Amino acid sequence: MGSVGAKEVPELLNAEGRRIDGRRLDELRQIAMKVGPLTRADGSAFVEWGENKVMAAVYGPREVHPRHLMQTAKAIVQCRYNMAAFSVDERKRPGQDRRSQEISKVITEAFESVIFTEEFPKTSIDIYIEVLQANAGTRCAGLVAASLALADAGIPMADLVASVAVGKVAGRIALDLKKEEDNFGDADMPLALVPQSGRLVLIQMEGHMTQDELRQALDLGVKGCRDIYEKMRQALRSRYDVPAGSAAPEVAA
Amino acid sequence: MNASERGRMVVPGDLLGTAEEFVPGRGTYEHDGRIFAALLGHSSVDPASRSVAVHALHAVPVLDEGDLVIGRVDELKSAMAIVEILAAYPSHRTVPGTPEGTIHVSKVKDGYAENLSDELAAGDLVLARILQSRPSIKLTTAPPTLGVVAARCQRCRGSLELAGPRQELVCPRCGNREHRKISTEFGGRTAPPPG
Repeated sequence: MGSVGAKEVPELLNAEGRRIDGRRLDELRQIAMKVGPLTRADGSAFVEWGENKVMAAVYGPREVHPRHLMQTAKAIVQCRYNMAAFSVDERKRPGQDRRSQEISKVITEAFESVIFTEEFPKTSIDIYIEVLQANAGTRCAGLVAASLALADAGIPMADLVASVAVGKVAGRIALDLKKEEDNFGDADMPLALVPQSGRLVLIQMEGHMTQDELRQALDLGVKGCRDIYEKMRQALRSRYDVPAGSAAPEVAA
Repeated sequence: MNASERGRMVVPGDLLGTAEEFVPGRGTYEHDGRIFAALLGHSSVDPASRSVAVHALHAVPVLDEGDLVIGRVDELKSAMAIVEILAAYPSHRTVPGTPEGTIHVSKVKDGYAENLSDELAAGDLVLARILQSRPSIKLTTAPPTLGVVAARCQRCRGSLELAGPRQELVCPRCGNREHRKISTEFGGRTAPPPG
């Protein structure tokens, strides 16, 4: 199983069914979310997910730049996903590349489906996602951070968007792959879910799965998204839900 | 809204009730006969109209009658000044769509104004109150706290300052004297909003 042609393939799944970091197949990495760390942005969030560290900031609705993108009947959503030069082991060449453009596009489209853009015609809602430290699953962490930042910015939307990746590791379907599992595994499939309606607003895949495995992966991924969703709701509440009489809504998630 | 009037804390996507129970108000939406929150905030029900609304904790500014705004005078017509609304006051968040409002000569100051150009000039920053928000935005600067809060000299574009015993507007660069309907907040004499 897990026959990859690499020289040194780490043991991704041991005899007890534990993964490289001791997790079971259906277990998420540790996640911490903080809403509102940036005071100058309209909304912001910081997510630490396993060894990923991702910051998201939201501005708007504000003036559209470049102007020709303006839509007269609704707001446009512009997302920029970016990886810091120091976010990976070998220096990442700074700036937009093919991969980050693609991720920006799919995240933009995921949010366009939940934001009530028709409430703010001729404006732009700008989302910035900065990956400070990467360890597989950064687009999912970015989506979660951006979703929290949008809620923090008071942007009206149908629901939060929750996201997680599922994959195939040593021939088995596993939730929330970390870097080694992504590199040496058989498949990686990031998902984004709108939990209230059960709609998937992002689904991509790299690698191969059988039809049965795909079905199993979707079930596991949707369940994972719902767990993430609960954590997101808690993070938003703990930022703002201050008991009557107490001041300072600055509470870490 | 004080703490005792606060309703339940909700996040976007939370179920608030069914369409049979409530009318969907601000910050909510209806889908398949059920009403959900669209914003992060506190929900409340108006007992008279049975309308349920969510009051955002950090809302996108929406202009309503009675709100204070900061605007820039863009153009003076014979009886009307056209003002670009830059922000709701004291929020420091820009109003989406940068809407335009008008100040009629009769609403510029308390008392009779013969010429609008004696009270306002293009480029002035004004603090104004909204008299009407729909279909078009109409503003007033009549109360003492409202009016011009920053202005430039029409001769040399220097920043005008209040000077002398009568607190007149004087250009410190060229000495030009000008008149405006100024606000008691002129020059930001009260503390600016935080942030």
